[in-house]
Amino acid sequence: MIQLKDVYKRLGGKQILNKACLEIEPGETRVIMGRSGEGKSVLIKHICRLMQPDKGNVMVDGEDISTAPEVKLSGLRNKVGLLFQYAALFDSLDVLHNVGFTLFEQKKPEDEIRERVLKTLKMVRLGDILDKMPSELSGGMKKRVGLARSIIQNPKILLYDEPTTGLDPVTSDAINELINHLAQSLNLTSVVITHDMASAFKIASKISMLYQGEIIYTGTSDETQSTDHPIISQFINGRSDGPLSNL
Amino acid sequence: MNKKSLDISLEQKADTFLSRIGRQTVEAFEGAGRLVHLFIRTIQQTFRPPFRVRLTVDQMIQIGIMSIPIALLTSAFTGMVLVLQTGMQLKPLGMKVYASGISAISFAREIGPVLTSVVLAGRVAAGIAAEIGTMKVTEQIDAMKTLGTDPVDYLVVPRFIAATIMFPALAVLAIGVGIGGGYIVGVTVLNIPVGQYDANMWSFLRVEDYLSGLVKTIFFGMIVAIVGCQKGFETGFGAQGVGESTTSAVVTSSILILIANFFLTSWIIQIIP
Repeated sequence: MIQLKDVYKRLGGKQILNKACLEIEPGETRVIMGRSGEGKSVLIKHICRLMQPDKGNVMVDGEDISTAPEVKLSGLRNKVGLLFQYAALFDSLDVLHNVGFTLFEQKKPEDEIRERVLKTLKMVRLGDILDKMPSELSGGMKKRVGLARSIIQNPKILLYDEPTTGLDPVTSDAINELINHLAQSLNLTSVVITHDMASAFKIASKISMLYQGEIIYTGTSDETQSTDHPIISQFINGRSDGPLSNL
Repeated sequence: MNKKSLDISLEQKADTFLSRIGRQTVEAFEGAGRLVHLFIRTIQQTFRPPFRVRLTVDQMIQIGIMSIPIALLTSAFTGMVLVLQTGMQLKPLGMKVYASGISAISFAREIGPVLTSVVLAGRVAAGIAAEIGTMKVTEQIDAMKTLGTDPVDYLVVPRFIAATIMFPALAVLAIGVGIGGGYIVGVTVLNIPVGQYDANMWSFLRVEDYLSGLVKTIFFGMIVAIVGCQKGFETGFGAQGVGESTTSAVVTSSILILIANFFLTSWIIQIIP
């Protein structure tokens, strides 16, 4: 289970998270939506301890990761994977070394790494592209390779930072299918940040809205589509007039 | 403008001026603190496994071997100019033969190590800051952390070791080539007889002079690697951020080399007069 309790974070003189609270059950796929610059990426970076809150607690599987020293975080690193918005592949390494990065770091035999990387690439529906460099891959392939790198250690939690941004609708849908497939086949808890409402409704068990540093709404896909909450309604319908426009 | 509003305006200007000085002073100390912190962490990590031999060798090639042309070219011409200038100043006194010894000793002790390090700072610090800065803005550093690898261990330590080894190695070559360049000018342009040039040079130059210069380049290598990495990690957003951190890495490491040179020389001169 993931829990954020009254998390505050200030960056560059701006209060990004302001008493943010969130609870995500195991096996759930939670979509977090919100306007650009609202702090969604900051929020998930707290779940994988890329950031620490100024105040408040972040619990992952009952363990408070917000204050744990860096040396005690190896368990968390194995438990939580993150797919970055632009995949963040290491551009000096080929696909084999990108996907198998942690295995190479653990000094596993190369044959074993090669086998596991190929198997993981198959899970994200990619073939033998081990020798390709990131610069030779399309946007969709980069996302899949990034996804393969995130799941090769069999994490329990997978965080997605705008997984369909910059992709065409067909590739976006393929990524959505992949998110659903991985969530079911690996029994993952997924946290997905997206602006893409079609994606959100397709993959979410529940949808939360981050607004002015707080989670102001959580509901299922069906509840979200039929809600009369003025902010949620304006956001999911993409209207320019409404309470969000006053910012 | 009445006197009261003029006073307020001057007060505001003074306040802005003073607060800017204060802010910049605080930022300078914070920056120095971060550099020292990174330096200490790097030293600690250097002696802890895993020892990344392949990455270190890659960096030695990148920092050292690839810098040979620029280091040798600048030294050769500086050595030539140094002998030419010294010889021309001494010629009216009938002492141009001493140009060989004076130039050799100043090249081995000061000009060779410092010039090589400052030239390398331009190439190496900029390269390191640009590479790590690009990794920062494309979230590769964050990705590395989420995969459980410490960026200091993976990125900084190999560059630190490589620079610490390759700066003195390049300085050895550069000093040799610089003195050699001076030799050619001394013999061909100043018409100093080969035997006299040799004899005079070796009567001045000792192995200790060579060593005193090389010891300094070990520290200069450390400075360039740490500053380049630190500026890379502190890169702001986008291409502009990478550009700013690259420029800052070159300027900061060059200045720090010159400052460190004074203190190191003051120390070394006590041991090797």
